[in-house]
Amino acid sequence: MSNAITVAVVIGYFVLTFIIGVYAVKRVKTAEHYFGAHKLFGAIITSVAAFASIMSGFGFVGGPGLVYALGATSLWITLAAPLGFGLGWFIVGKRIRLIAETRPVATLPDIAAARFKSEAVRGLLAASLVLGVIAYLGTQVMAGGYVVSGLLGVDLETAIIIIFGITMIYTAIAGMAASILTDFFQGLVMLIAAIGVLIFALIMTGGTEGLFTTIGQKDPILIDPLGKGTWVLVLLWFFVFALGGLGQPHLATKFYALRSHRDLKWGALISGGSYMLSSLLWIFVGYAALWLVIGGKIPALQKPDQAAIAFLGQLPVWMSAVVYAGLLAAIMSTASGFIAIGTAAIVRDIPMALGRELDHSRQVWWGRIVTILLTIFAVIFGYFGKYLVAILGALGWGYFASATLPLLAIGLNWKKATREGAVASLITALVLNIGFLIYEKVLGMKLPYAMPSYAVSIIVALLVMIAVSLVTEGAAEDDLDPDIRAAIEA
Amino acid sequence: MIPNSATLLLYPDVNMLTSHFKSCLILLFSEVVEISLREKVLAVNGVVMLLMLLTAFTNSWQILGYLVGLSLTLWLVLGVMRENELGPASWLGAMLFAFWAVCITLIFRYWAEFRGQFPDFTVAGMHPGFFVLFPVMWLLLFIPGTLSYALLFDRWILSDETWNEFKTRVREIEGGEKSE
Repeated sequence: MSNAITVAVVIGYFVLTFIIGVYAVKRVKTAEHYFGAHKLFGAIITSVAAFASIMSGFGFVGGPGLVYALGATSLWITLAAPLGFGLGWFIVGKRIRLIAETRPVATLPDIAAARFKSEAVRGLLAASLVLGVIAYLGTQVMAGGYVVSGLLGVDLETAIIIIFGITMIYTAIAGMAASILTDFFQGLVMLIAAIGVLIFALIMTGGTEGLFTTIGQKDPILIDPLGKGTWVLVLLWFFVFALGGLGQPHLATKFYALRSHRDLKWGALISGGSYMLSSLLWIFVGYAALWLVIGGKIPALQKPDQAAIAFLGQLPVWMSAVVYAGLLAAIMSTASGFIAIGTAAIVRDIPMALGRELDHSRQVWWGRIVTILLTIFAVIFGYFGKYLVAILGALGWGYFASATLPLLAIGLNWKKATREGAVASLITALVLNIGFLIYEKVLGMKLPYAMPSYAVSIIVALLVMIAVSLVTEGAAEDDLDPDIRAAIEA
Repeated sequence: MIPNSATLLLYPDVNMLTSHFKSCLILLFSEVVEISLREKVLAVNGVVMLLMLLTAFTNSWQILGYLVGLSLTLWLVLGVMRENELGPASWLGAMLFAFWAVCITLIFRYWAEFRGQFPDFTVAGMHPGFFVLFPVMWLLLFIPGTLSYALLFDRWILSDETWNEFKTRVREIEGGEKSE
């Protein structure tokens, strides 16, 4: 796979990313800048960064693989997300930005602790974030390593050191500020890749007419709106991916990074629109790979995840190099955001929850140390963890959504949401996610009708938050801090 | 009605008893009916999400299809509305649900009509149900769900007036705290 053009594009991408990441340190003046990029960036940078951090490597490789295997089933995930960006801005965007105006918030646990006046909520949420971050990063290690190894022609270990070494260094130097600034650049690379792929896919297959007719005549189920999944699966996918996005910490953190409240205005449109463009890659790469196999142009794929690689093999070298850069961008942008979030949880939130806040001047110093240690731990875990990585990786997205969504979506919109409700929903999310993990991965059982277990966890956590809040009183109504109350009522 | 001895002990005057009973009723009644608009939306959404779980576990996917649209609509309404004021949330929510209901009905219908066979007609080569999902529903939901945020921002979401009110309120709070 490695050739001079690909190597040049990939190295150029790495160098530019590194320079941008390190440059971000100029913006970092306080611990809040380092951990949360508090009020540092405008609408365009934060919105493109929000889309880039949500679109992970899965969208570039796993998504097309699912289309290849199941037809339209997985489209219900990616087609829901643009609506999710709007819901994110509507439901939590304004309130988080208003709170950021009155308090030096730098992390989600900061917001949760302010809303629920509880260090227990801060601690539980921070611990949840650390667990989720390690689980997610672990899954990215091998994926990123294999991609770089194939592109540069180096061994797997060297490839892992290159991709995570670069990400670690710039994130350690400038924290969330580096993460957001590089996410912006990486988001632009992804958009160029997505538009290029769409054009090439349509030219290669003779437009949508040639593409879908060829596939449909071979297997009509692959081109119908359900594909090979079940209705329960796709409908719940649409629901949780439309709503669950706003519970993702790497999206929520972008709201307090906005310089001005007016920067909220175009954010949903830019983020949602960018995601819509990039989801075309998910759709058309998957179907183009099917078209290539059905048309006998390439042999049947051994694994669905090879769909993206098989399609890219048909593109001009320079174009595939740009798409590979986009794939690296997708992996690195999500990884850097998670490293910064995990670091902030360890250095800032967990000590605060235990009543041992570090001195602000030392927080950044410790942040850099913990960024390095967390990345090294995640790399070792990802490389050696094998089965454990696969098990914990399954937690990832759904765990974040079920843990944070009730706190943000209900907590910031309902004055009667209580501290007890928040704690109960956090514990419910933890218990259900681990319970379903054992049920599915260890016991090998499945919920009926291919129902995604994280959809159940998310809905139950939301219901627990509402139900417990109705019968308890802590940090609700008159007990709210006045600025939080004003933000909810605005 | 003749009050019994215990009641007489507590309420020597029957009029006083009636008056207290009335005030208790008013208090109770006000507790019951004074549910904010946000709470009503949230409560209805809670019931809808519970029904979603029930329909999912019983594979009643057609009902689930509409409940998903209804819940997403209620979440949008919750995000758009202000404290006890719906504003554009009503028509925005109605628009989102209408788009969802029409699209999901067509998707279900075309899926059932052409299941397992190449469809009798296509739109740009696409299965008609697929075409409704992508790009029709994809683009339609984007209008009330996302595009509307920018369009309503200055008028409703966070106008300068709202922002200034918030800043003034916070300054007053801070001033009050300092003087304490």
